[in-house]
Amino acid sequence: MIIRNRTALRSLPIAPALAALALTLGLSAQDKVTVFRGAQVHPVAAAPIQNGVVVVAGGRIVAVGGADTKVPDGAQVVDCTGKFLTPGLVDAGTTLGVDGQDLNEQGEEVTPHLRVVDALDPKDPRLARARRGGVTTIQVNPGNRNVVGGLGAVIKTHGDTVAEMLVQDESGLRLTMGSEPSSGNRAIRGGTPVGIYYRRPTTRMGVVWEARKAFYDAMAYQEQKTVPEGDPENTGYDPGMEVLVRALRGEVTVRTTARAEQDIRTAIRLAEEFGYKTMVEEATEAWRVVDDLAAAGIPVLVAAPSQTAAPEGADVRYHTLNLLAQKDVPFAICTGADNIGMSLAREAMFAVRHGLPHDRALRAVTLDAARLIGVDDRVGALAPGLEADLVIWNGDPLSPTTKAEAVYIRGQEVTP
Amino acid sequence: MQRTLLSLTCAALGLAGTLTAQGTDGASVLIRAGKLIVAPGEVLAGNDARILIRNGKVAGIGASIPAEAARRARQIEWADACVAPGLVAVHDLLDQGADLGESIDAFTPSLVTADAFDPFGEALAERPRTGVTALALAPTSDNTFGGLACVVKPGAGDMGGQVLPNTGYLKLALVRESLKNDRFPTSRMGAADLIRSAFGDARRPLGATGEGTRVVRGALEGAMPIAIHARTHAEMTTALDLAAEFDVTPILLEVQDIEDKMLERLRGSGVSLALAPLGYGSTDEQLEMPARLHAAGVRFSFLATRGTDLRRAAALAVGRGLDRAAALAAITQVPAEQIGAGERVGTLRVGRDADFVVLTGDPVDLSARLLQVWIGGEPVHAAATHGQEGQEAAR
Repeated sequence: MIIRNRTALRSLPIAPALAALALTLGLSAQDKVTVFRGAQVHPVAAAPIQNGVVVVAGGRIVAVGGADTKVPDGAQVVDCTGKFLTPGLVDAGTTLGVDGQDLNEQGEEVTPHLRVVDALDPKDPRLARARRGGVTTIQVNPGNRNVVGGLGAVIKTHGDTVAEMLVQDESGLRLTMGSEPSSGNRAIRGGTPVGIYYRRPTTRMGVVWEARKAFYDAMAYQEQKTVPEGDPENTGYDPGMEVLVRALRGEVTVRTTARAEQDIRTAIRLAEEFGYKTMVEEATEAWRVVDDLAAAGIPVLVAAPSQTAAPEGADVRYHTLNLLAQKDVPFAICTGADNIGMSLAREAMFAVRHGLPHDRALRAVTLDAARLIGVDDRVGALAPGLEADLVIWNGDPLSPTTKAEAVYIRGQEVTP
Repeated sequence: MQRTLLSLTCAALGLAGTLTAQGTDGASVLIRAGKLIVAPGEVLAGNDARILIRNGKVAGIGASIPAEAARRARQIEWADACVAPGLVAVHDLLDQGADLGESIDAFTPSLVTADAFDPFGEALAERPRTGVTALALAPTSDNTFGGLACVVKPGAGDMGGQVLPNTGYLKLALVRESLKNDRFPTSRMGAADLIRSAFGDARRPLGATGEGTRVVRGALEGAMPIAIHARTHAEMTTALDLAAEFDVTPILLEVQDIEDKMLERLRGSGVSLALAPLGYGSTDEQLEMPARLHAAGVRFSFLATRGTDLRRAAALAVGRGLDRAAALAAITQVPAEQIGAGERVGTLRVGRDADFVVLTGDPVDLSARLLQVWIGGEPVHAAATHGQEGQEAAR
């Protein structure tokens, strides 16, 4: 791409029309205006535009349109002729940015108030790799070794501090079904019990019991909070219970990891029992439960559709996403907990290969993903007012021969 | 109550040192040197390069020493030598690591290292050989809240070391070794939560009321500094985020690398650093970091571990552009302030402890030979004599 008018930018005034628009967005006249011109633009929220124009100022998108879109004089122009322009990709479920040991607090089985951002390493090289692959926003989650693992967060893949990266803190509570939370625990069968791993759960049944107990405890906690402080009946502030209470009120989405059919059914059942808002994550066998998911209106976050085998022996089928689309189950594609060496664009490409429409696959890693994690008012599409996270590709983003040539976050180029 | 307990412990252990001080009671010593460094950047030379010592303390320096007091004192003259404040180590385990990490529980803020202090330990007796006259005996990094580090000094002769009462810091750790796989926390996420809930409890009027919480509350209220062992960029990030959340300005221990953005974050934050030991194997970035920090106005000290020494770290940093006085400050005044003992050690101002080193040149110059080390107005170490370290002239 060629950057022109670099010097002109400093001397020329910004066009009044854009200045007015900038004012409504709270931008100052000093904000740099950048125009991306000539690309095949995929706004995702609207139809693709050949030879499109995207105008960015103050870190936000201010206009998206065809070649005749009004552009202020003196703006910096990025020539994207022959390129594809998309919103930055959104990975709605991943563990990037956190060291494996820091993902799971194994000291306890139910740790609702632990925050994954406390363990975030802004310098994690995997974040840089995801960014080079066009991923600009991710939901980072605690791991799946606990029944209730803690709070995830939505972050940008670029920044030096947590505060700089953070988009939405406490954006989901990790709940895990299946055998993973019980896998490290041991039952006491004779001998002297030692260590913290002699504890429940050691079975699937125990996992659900722990989950159910946690939410019942939260309900009891909520009740005792009506007792005045100082009264012995009032056992005081409990940060974990506070989080569970917020989940019960629907203020925090419960993100239930469930891969096998029975675990997905349990996830649906628990959500109905306690009335909390949930989505099913990983969801390998969602193809078996698609009608129930549709009936319950529970969104699905499918991890790594290209994987040939999933944990817990769950049966992988490549038409899962097509089925979800047909039955109108809201879904997105993410890289998931086992994301080593994965590329989100390649996962979407794989879905296309197996029959998911191209536009739907692109949406599943942009707008629909942003919607699932509740940040679609900020990212996920190319539309005025949204943050200027965008990717210039040298071809169709969902083709294996395509490379992300430049990645922008809040209007700043963050590649290489 | 915690402070009282601590003071009692320290007082009991400090008895040996007190006796030492009493041994010189009534007698004063006047030392004349070629050069006297009162504090980093404050150098007296010629006739002013003199220091009067009484009762183990600095009683006067330079021209302000009354003529009568100077004449009555025992006279020592090191005409070609340099007298400088004794070196101070921010973090030392004195080879007693096994006694300093009660790791069954990660929350042990009320443990006091003075309770494990061996006043006659070999490691303590060896420290003056590298010029160290005071050090903080710290808990290990096995726990998130390790306990209270206490400031100790080696003693003269057979008297043994002493603990300085009402000094030291509360030590926290975020490094890998503080996470264990058999107790909470096993992850940095859990460690951050433990710190947040402990600080939260301490700040909450109706929070937990254990002894540990009282110690943490005291530290948050400024009764003692808080030091956090945070080695990597990620650990520093967590430490700084928590510090900002609770509006505290900790000392970060064993910092290895600092990127420009991190430097910006530290600038003006009040957070000070204890840098990982510098040696001949250090990277260019590590060697140049002290000069960068100094230029940015970030306070820092050097750490020493076994096999390294503070003077070498300071000298290597000077070789990479650090101001000489700042390098000396990083091994004397700054660490003394970081460990809450700046009113007693780290400089040779009037009223401070008479802890100093005598060298053939500048302490930051590695070619300068360490001739003598004095603690509490008493010599505790002398280099083997070859007739070059001056002579004592009794009147």
